[in-house]
Parts: sequence; structure tokens; C-alpha cells
Amino acid sequence: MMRLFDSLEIAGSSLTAHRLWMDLISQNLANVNTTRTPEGGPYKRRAPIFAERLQGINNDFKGVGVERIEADDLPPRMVYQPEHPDADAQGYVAYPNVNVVREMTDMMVATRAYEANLMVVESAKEIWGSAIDVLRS
Amino acid sequence: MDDMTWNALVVGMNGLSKRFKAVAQNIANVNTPGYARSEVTFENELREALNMKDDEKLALMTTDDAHISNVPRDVTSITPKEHRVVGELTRWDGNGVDLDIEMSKLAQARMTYTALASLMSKRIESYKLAIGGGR
Repeated sequence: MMRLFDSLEIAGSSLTAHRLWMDLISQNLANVNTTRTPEGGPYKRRAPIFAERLQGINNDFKGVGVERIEADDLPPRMVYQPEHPDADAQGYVAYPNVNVVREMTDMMVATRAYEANLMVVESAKEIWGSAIDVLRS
Repeated sequence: MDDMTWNALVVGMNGLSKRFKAVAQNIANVNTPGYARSEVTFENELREALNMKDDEKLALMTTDDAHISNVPRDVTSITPKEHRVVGELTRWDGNGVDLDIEMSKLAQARMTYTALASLMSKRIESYKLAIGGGR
């Protein structure tokens, strides 16, 4: 059975997921030079794992969700800075594995997806509005 | 109400809202790795049912649910069919959603739905006219 606001819920779930992705991107960019973290070592890039959401026996569409947030295991960026307090014996400092260019392109992808979903919300409002107009005639 | 136009409008709007939902799901999952896009079809079936001449409307007798009927006999019996397009990749991460195609499908579903809704309003107006005796 089809419910009236399913499409809005689907688009909403995707808006939430992509906003979370953008939050993680800003967190990554904010910590691009963080060499100390509570768990030790430099900050590690965080990325969301998106998964499709289905519900019930009919596999009813429920949009998308972030299954979990994973830390990227790419090796840290090693920079020769012997004067840095976190430098190792060879004088190298382990900086986070955050690639600024990659974060910027990810941000564009997330923004575009967010906009596309906003478009779905707008369209859903219009078509349900036109269906309601039938009642007025 | 055995009104062919009305029934066709209902089937069309029902199919379009189901397609709209599938497109919404596809756009929502534009960044989900391995997602296979969903498609909804009903137009061909509807067209077939509408173009059928009266002498073709003789249906094969079915006395059991397992019997296969020859094409949809009745416009109202048409239900939109949803299927997954598997193995069609637009990106390296296994995602099959082409955002441009989905956006155009969205616009198409939106405009057609609005058009059908206003046709429905017109239909109701003409019924009102008939009921009111043309006054």
C-alpha cells in the first residue's frame, strides 16, 4: 500500500544522510592538521557508509541511511618537522590522512545530491497539491 | 462508474505516483555503493488496453488462478510494475543511478501527474454540468 508522504520521507532520509556526510567533511577539514587525538596518533579521516533502506515484506522504499561512520585507514601524511613536539625519532610528524582536494570534491558531490533531493521535495509538494486540487473541483 | 477516461486517469495517476516514489528512492540513493536503480512501467500496458478494439475484448476463459489470461482485459486491472535494473553501472562503486536521467524522469512524472489531475477536475466539472442539466 502506498502512503501519501512516502516520497517526502524518502527524500528527507537522503537529506539527513547527506547533511551528516557534510558534517563529517567539515570535521575532516577542521582537523586537517590535528596531530593529537584522545585515541592517540593523528586524526583519521571519517567517512559515512550509505545503505539503502527497505521495509516490510514488500521491500517498501524507505530511502537511505548512514549505516556507520568509518575511520579511513590510509597512512598518515609524514612531514619533516624536527622542531614539532609530536615529531618521531627521525624528525617526521604524522599528519592526518585528510586530503583537502578530496574533501572539497566530496563536498560538491554531497551538495549536488542534497539539491537533487530538495528538488524531489518540491516536486512531491506540487503533485500532492495538484491531487488535492481535484477535491476542490 | 464505468467511465473509460476516468479509469485511465486513475491508472495513470496511480502509476505515476508509484514511479515518483521509485525516482525519489533512486535519487535518495545516488551515493549508495552497489545500489541498483528501480524502474516502474505501466504505460505500454495502459496503451494496449486503451487501443483495444471491441472485438478484441473477448478474454480467454480462466477458471483457475494459475491460468494465463491474454493481455489485460480491463483498464482498471492494470497495476504498475516495479523492477530493479541490475548490472547497469554508471560509476565505479557499483551504483546504477544516473542523476540526470532521474531528474528528467522526476520532471516528467511531475508534469504528467499535474496534467492528469487537471483533466480529472475537468471530468468532474463535465459530470456536474450533466447532473445540473446544463444550467
